[in-house]
Amino acid sequence: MTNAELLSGNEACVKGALAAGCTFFAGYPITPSSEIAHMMAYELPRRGGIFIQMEDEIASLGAVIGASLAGAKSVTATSGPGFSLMQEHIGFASIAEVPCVVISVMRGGPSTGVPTHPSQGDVMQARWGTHGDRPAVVLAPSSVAECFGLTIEAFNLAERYRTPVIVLTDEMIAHMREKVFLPSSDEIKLVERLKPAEPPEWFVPYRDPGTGVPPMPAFGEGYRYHVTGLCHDERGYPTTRADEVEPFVRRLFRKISQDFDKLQWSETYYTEDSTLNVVAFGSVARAALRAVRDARSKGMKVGLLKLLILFPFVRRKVTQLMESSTTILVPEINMGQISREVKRVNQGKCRIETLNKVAHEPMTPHEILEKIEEIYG
Amino acid sequence: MRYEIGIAGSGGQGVILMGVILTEAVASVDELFVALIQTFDPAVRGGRAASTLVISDEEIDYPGPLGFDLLLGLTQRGLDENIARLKRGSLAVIDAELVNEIVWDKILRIPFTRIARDDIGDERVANMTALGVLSELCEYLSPPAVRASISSRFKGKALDLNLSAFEEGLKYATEFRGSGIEKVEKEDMEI
Amino acid sequence: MAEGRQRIIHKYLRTTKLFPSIWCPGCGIGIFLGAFLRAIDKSGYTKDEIVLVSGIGCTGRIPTYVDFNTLHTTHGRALIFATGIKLVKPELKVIVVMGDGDAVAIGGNHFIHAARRNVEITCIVINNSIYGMTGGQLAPTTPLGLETTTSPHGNLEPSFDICRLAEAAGSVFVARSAVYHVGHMERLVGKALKKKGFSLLEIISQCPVHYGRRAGMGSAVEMMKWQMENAITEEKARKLSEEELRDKIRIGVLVDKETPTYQERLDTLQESLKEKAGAL
Repeated sequence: MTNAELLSGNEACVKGALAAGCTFFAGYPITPSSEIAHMMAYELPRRGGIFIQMEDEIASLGAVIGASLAGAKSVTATSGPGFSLMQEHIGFASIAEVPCVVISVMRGGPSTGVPTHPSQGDVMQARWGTHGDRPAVVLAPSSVAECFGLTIEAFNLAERYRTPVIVLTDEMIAHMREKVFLPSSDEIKLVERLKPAEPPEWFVPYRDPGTGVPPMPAFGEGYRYHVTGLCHDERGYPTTRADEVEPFVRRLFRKISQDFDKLQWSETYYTEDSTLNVVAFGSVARAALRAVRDARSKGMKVGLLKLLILFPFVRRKVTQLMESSTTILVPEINMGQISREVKRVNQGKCRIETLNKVAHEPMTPHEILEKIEEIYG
Repeated sequence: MRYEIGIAGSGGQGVILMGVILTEAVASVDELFVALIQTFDPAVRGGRAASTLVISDEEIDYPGPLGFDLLLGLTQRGLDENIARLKRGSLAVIDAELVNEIVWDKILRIPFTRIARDDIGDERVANMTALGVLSELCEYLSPPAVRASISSRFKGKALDLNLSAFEEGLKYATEFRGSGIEKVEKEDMEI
Repeated sequence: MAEGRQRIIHKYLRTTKLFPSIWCPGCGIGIFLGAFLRAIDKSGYTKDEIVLVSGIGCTGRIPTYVDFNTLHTTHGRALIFATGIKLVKPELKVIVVMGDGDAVAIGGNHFIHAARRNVEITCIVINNSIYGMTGGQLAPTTPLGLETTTSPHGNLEPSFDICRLAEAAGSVFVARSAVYHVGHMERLVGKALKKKGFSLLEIISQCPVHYGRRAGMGSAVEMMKWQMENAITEEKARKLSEEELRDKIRIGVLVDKETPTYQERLDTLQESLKEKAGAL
């Protein structure tokens, strides 16, 4: 049975995290993500979980990683400036392979920017914000219902791949309230991190079991091992040896890249016969769907690809779409970030048009429709 | 079907709460979908505040405003900034005391603030009087559902006060509906 | 006796691939590590119960070498990771080792908040008054006037007293020792481990390469001699004037008080929430 509820995007993220089995939240107040902390502060202690307000965002993600090493599914939530501060520990969680979820609500930037308005300016920060090469997993809900579902999936991916996963929403989605139908707990599939099957004396903490993802015991379970932000060998000990560092870093990529075909999370609308296709995500995807419908009603053959995952980029879906498109339009409320990915995949197949808005206001269907009409001629 | 309600006023008037109450009331109807977007200035009191409701019988694609079917202006500035989004032929409801200048062909002036102050005894519940009026004017808002939503948010004396303001608005709109609608052309305005 | 002591240490050292350690000859960290492991041995905690967390720097490498649950975090951040671990698994003994720059420069904010919060963490700061690993730069503990690689014309900044900082921030246990005083250090580690709540132990140590050779403060032996000559117990220090105490290192327990730990407050909260839920 599904239950109808009225929730904001932020509330749905909390509900999703709790449904995923999250028992630990550490965070620092920041608009427009604070409601996540408010609700976590209320809910977690009542369920025997832990909420803690840390001294800053660096500390928040650090505590989250510590909690995860101790065995808890853990999460933090932030926005622009706080997300910048968290980059240090996104890198740590990547190299030390600690599952955790970061919910980042995009607001206008750079710096303090426009705290109360939406933006999509942090897409590339989510991908490349921390130093060093690493794979990134970034999900992008475009509705309150997707905030719920994708937060659960963020935990699942984090646990499956032992990696930090970012849920990138925006102010519009976060504060918007919608009537949603949430699945009951028995309809929700959860993934738990793999624990070692062998006894502690045989355990080699970072040895690739073939899947690219080593099993992970929690601190205190008898498997004493070393966790470090340095490049490490299979035992977890620091190494600078090329023959150990190279396979290690490659494994970090491979454990996710080998599943690219399973991670083409996206939805298509009206693409059966469309020649002009819109690629959009987040709140802009909502405006795009409306614009596409309006264009259809005017007889234009327009379709939409809505991205639910931004990274790894849904290369196969986009390539497929390009086969039947003459033009791809990428509307974003930034100066062009996901459009770079679309162009990278394009390789001359079709024309790529962008529509950018940096007033830190939602993109409207009217603006997209105008652009569609302009392209359509 | 897509029906949009805009509520525009300033921080402290209860515009945000009105949005939440109405949205809750719509959400309680099985066959209706609803989305609520709220905007407000960083200043909690006195800054701009607006609620936009989209009501639909199917999943809502764009949750933001495309064109209001009903606009409630609780301040001059709120009305001025939103009247362009009101669909032709749709009704603008304004606070008779707080909004003076308007050019539109379907206007309902209701002194929410005065009713709340003089008849109910507390100016702060003008927003509940307005909810009463909206519930009467919009076919997708059922007064019992709105009443239930209000009742879930207040207790004791505060609930009595808010509910009586709501009922007063409902009554006022029932009497006024149709007869109170006026039209103001540009040349009628004294500039 | 010496042989027995060695055997205790070997019970706790990781044996694969790791030695020789990264520490320079004459460094105080190895002496500390010996005392630390002997104190752990006496404490009765099993290896599985202990989580040792560090940040970046020479001290940050300690967890690599010892057979506990070990975590080598980012620069200055050991305490926050430790906070997360302790809150999720209160039954574990969480110990943090940091250097002076790690603890009170880049990690200064976390340091004062961890002390204020009173999550039960044994926090040990090994203070050599300089940045060792990165090449002898100015630390917030470097004495005024000292010439370092980033203060070639002399340090213009007054230095932090780490113990007073911890005390002011609310640490329920504050103590100081020096690597010269090995037995004293071992006893204080033992005391700090027993303390409920956030305990801070500062260890005065020496960096013979950067503080000694480069900054001209002498050899490791001379620096330890300085520790011997200038360390003064807290009991004795209380009887001396401020003038007499200048340039002395006050060692011993400086603060030892009882306040409810974060965990105790949390337990009370969760208990009351459970009762409330039960009452409904």
